[in-house]
Amino acid sequence: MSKYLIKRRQFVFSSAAVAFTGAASFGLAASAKDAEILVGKLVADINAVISSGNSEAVMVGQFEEIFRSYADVPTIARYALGNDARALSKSQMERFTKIYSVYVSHKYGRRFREFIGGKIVVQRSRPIKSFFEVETLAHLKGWEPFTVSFLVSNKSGKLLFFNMFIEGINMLLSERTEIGAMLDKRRGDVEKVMKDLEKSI
Amino acid sequence: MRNLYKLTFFFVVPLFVLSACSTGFKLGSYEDPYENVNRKSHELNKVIDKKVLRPASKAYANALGQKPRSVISNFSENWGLPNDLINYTLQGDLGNASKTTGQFVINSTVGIAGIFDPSEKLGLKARGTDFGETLHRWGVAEGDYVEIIFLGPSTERDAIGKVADLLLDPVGFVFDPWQSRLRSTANIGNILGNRVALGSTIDSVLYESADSYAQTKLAYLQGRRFRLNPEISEVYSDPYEEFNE
Repeated sequence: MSKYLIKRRQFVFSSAAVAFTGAASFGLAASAKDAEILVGKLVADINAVISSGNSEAVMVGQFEEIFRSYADVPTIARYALGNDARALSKSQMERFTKIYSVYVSHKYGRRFREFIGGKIVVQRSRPIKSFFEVETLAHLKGWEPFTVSFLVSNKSGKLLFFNMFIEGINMLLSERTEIGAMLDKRRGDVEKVMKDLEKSI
Repeated sequence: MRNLYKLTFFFVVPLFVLSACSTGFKLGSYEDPYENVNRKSHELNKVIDKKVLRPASKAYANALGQKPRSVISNFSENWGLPNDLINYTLQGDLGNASKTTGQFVINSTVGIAGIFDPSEKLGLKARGTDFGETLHRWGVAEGDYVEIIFLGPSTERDAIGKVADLLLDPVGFVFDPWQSRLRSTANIGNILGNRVALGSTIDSVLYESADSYAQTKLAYLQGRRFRLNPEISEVYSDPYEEFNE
């Protein structure tokens, strides 16, 4: 009887703990291990495309699909715009996100195409601030293996990656620099930027 | 005595200049006081790439297949190893110093003067190093960003490192003129080969981005900092936090 009580008390306590951590992270508790599993699936999908032997056009389409299902595209799009994002209307932001997601997935899809004949292997994961870093090693033909790190968060309501570092080179920062330069050249006209992004796809 | 004077001039003076103008390791800083001059060098470097390096690398890839290209690159890289060995020794990194020694001895003998790379199959391969890294290990800050004509992106510290590597290179003292010419030719082949291998990455930064100068600088500084200090090269920014501000 007392054994049963302790078990029940433990159960009540632990479920309260789960509820508490869940509430703290917007109703979704995640661990570095979960982030590692997500990136494990992501690189398995990338590896499958790399070794598929499909045509370039097909591969870019497949990478676009992968990007959509594993990346927090709205967050990446908003970060790329920087402070200018605040000046956009809701519908402008939605349109920008849509165009940008195709543009960015094509751009990085073309990069991953160069990985043909290689593979990416998950190394380790660790929590940083409110998110997780998952480190992978890319083994490419003719190159020393190099590090590709993914930053993963569940702040969007779903566990997704929001940044990627290739040998320390920060994708979000490159993207903000790129979109910032595009805006500067077009006197801050986001409509023109969207038009030109669409043309480049 | 004259050598000592040279040594003082090339190493000690710049070291003082460097330590005076830069204070500590600026984590994740992208300040750019030389931007005006740098942008001019960048435009010139782009012209050099477009008119010379890029077409030459294409011709090189057309003329030679993957195998002969890698023979040339192996040879070029092998004779750069003694310089790596000196730098690893100066850094006090005895693990990499002995790895580099092993690599050099095996590739120079079994690998026939370094045209093959049997050490790779033995897992005996240290990553490359340079005097810029040695200065970093000695506590010299990176200084400001500079883009140098012909040599490309660098920092004040790494630019001094490049000069030092030229002066320190032990192979230069040992090779006769004919051997030096052979090596220089292989070095040019290696540069062309690297331009081939990194082809579309370099093209996308130089010719497809809205501000190729800014992208080059960003990629160089981040890549270099990561290489020298992988654990603390970057302060991770949190976009979710930024949006809530």
